[in-house]
Amino acid sequence: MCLGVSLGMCLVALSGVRCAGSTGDHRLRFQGAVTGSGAAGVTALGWTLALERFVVAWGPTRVYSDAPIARARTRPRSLLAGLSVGTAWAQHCHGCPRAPVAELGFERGGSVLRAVDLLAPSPSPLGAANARNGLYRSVSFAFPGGSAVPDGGVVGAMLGGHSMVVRGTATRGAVSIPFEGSLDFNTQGGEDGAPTRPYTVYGVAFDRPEGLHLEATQEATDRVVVRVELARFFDQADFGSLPEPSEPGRPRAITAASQVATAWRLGVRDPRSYRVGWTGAGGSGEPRPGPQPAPDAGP
Amino acid sequence: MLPPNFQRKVGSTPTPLFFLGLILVVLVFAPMARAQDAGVVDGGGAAGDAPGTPRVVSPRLLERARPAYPADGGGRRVDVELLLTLNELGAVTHTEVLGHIPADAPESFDHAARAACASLRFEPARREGVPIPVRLRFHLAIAPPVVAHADAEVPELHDDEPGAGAEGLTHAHDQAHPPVNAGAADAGAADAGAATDATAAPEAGVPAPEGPAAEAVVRGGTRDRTASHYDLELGALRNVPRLTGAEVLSLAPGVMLSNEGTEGHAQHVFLRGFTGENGQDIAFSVDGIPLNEESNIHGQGYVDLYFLVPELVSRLDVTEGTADPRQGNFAVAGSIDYHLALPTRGLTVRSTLGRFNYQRLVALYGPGGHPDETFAAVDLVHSDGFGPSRGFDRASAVAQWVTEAGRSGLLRLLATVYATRFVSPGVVREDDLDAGRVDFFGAYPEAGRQGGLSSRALVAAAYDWRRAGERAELRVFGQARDLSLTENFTGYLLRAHEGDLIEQRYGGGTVGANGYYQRTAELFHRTHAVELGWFTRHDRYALAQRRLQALTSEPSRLRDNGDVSADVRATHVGLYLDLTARLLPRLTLRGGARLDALAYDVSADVFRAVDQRTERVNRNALGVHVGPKATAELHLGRGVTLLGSLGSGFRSPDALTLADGESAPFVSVLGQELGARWTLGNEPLARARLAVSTAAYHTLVGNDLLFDPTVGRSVPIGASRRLGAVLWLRARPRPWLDVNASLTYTRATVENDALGSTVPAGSLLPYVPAVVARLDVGLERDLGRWRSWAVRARGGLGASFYGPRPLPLDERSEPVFLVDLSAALRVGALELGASAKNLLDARWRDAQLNTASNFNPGTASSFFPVRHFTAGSPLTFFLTLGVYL
Repeated sequence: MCLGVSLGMCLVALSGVRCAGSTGDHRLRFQGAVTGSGAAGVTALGWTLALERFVVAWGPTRVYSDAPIARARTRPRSLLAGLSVGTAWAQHCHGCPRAPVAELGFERGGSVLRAVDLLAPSPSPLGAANARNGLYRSVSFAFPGGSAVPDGGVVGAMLGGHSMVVRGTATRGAVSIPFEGSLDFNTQGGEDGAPTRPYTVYGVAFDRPEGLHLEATQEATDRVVVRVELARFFDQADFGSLPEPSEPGRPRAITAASQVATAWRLGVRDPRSYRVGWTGAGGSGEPRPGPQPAPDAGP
Repeated sequence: MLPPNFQRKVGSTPTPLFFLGLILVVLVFAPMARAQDAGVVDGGGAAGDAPGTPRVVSPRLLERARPAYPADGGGRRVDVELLLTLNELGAVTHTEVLGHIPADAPESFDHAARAACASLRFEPARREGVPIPVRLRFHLAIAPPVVAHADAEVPELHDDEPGAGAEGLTHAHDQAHPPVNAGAADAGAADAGAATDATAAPEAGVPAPEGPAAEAVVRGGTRDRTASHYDLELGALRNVPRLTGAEVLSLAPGVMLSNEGTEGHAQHVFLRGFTGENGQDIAFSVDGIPLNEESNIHGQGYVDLYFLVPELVSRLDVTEGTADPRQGNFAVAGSIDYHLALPTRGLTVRSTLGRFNYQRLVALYGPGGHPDETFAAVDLVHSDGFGPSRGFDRASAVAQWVTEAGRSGLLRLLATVYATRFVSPGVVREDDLDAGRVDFFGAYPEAGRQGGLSSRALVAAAYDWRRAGERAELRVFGQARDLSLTENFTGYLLRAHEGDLIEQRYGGGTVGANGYYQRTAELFHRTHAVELGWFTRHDRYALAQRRLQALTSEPSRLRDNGDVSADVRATHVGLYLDLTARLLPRLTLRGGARLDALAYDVSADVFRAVDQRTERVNRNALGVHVGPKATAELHLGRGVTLLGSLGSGFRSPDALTLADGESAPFVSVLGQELGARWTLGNEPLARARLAVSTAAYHTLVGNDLLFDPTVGRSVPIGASRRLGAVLWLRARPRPWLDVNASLTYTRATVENDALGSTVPAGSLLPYVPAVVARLDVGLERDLGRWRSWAVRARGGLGASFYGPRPLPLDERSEPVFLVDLSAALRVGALELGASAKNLLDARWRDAQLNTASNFNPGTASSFFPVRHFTAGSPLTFFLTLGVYL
């Protein structure tokens, strides 16, 4: 009996024991925000844009530890890649995708898709990040179908079920072309063409090309800010190729098959269309405007 | 007796057919048991007893004799007849040698028998429930060739010498046979307080506990290579509730079991800082037959222990650490050898009903006149499980036959057939639980039907041979094995519409043999020993893995990079040399080395993206591992022994990870340990009434792996280190009470910055429990008689404590405290018992994982790893009805 009582007391005492030490990796807490480069901009083909509306269905934003110029892989190269052997540890993801060091757009396990007005005077919040310490080096953005965005209020209404909506005027020389249009990102197809996931852009540098190693954050003040260079989206667009509107006075429509729409998609995919800044320790602060594109020889 | 259909829905009740069958068994067999139990003439007592003579219950042997074979024995067997005097506690107070056969045997046999009988322990004789002193005729056979240690200056027995001290092939007839004297029992001795001249006649009405004259073939001896070697005879501890043979592992200090599936899926066995996924870090065996599976598609070293019937587990031979040359592949944290026996002779049938429609029928048969190691058993189990998708069915049959073979040999034949089919719930996300989207015991039906089927057919033969100064053992085995598993731990993360359900298959066979040869030699007036051992094994298995559609379980329409179709042929040859030198009276040195070579021939399908074709590619590899082992043992006297040891252990690589022509890399660990042991009365560890041991250990893994979620696979991280300490106690303060307790502390850390400095040097390895504590209490006691039936009670208590475990992202799991309890009362041939698992109904998490997942098809997937868990079993109670024939 004495033995049992002694052991019981030991167990009660042990229940309060917390093993000293850490597994090394730990959570970080910070916020995210996205903003546009402004209503005015100049494309590489010399078109000066004056934007009146630019609304985007914004999906998950993820930060990875790999190099930004590398095309991100969603799966490891090979399950048979055995570099060495060790005692191995619990992991049950067969063919796991790479995990990000930070992820915005998920709250309490569920995805949060947002309708974002990139012409808003202040950055639009992306919510709190699920994040851990590590090397922050490259960023990806996912653009879902607009219909996937839940009721987003006024901004959501402007989306009208599309992934991106734009309206503005493009001017070059004496030519001024009002335009409007939308992009619909069918989710990227799998091997059988069936949609699998939102359209994702990879390889954007986090604050600087070599990345930033984050070990601690100030939750109240530290945040990652994404700046979308709106004019870059249309670097290769020739607005003059847009067909005349059916009704006079109406803007020219960016149709799905138009050259402008194709250029727009290319612009969305181009990592140079985005700049990511870190406002915390070691960061460069909110992203500054990028260099103006070298004007191409236009018509 | 079981319902014709094992498939039952949750919450359904056993069919009336089951109850009728149970009642039938009772009605048919109870009278037979009663007849055997009575044996008493109506109105009378024992034959020849005068009416009204108080009934006397014979003493019952609890601890057998292990005589030392005399040095002048000449290699022959001698039977010694003795007259023992027992006091009220069942202890032998006087021994008188009546004679021996053959008559010309030297007197040294008498001395050996007398010395051995001094350590006998009995349940005392009783008259009307009151213990009394008695005299008892006892027959002890001392068979060759057991060489006692020659060092008379050291009173301690060296159990690991071939036949030294406590070893020997003996036959001890059950104390109830033959009767001492015919005629009335003279109970006056106790009344008069005289010296023990009374002679007790066995109660004629007492059921012969072992049937006809029982013979116990005793093969003793243990190998104490470290202070963390535990020879765990279950004894009364078998009354602690355990549903499977795997749960017996909790007796071993520091062992923590975890299961991410249902019964049928191999458990993770944590020990000494190793997570032991599916058993891979411990070399498991049953009576020397290896159980770890080579290149199992689910995990290298996978061990399925569900074929073991828990009632048959009589002893666990646990060696923690890597200091024993007999430890081979997979002995990274240690090795555990199951020994099977059935102490209760005759036919025993138990039927159990429990919560969640748990139904079990087990039949155990131990023929009288045969040793405990001869038995047959059939075990049938069904349960709906404690939540959705947790049902299982299991059928197991085990039979073993042990007999003497020749003058000096012992032959053991083992056969077992087993199959289980089970359903698994998968894992639950913590954030889903917090958000109320899923219940604690719930599951994600969208993940698909998970579970599997496991089967095994095993045959083995072992020959144990002894002669003066020599001992040898030869074991051959063959096994056919099949495993099919489906699981989905990530939902729709990778395939948003089909789901991530995968199917794994592993099937084939294993043949092998192992053994050793021991020899002692006298040198400088001391006994030394040398042992040469060998191990061979050949495995041929087909491996397959493919994706299934989660909602239909049909094969995926798409190819997956992870699909596997391969044939593996693995050949393992091992050799070891072990030397024992007693240089000083109190100092023993043991050292040796082990060499293992493994060759792999892999034939696998490889998909060529360039032309979308699949072709068969062959590759082969061979690896060699050399592992030194050494132990120093210092006897301080008064039962205290200090032990220091070191050794190198290893685990073979998964064949699918090998490149063609590669020198197969092994997991190699180097372990050191320093500890002390004390046994009361300087008794051998396995039989000591009180034994305590403590040890501090250190293990270094040269090149460990850690899962890096940012790359989606395990990556090398350099060295890792495990430091810890263990305290163990075994006590038998009363003949009917047995206590086993342990407390283990472990700290497992990385040695270098890992994962791009995300995990700095000194960081804890995740999932390793820092504190593991365990208490087992078992009791078995005769309560006298009720009417003409013997009444016997037994019970058990098991308590486990697991301290908070470090999890990724510097989180901690909650501590876990579980209590199991059982009690049973036997009257004559019938026994009724009740037991409870998780008596406190603790809500606890069994397996915990950190991975990304998405169980909502069609929605965006988060790639950030989050905590997942499988729920541990809640309070579950059982009722058992047993019949002993």
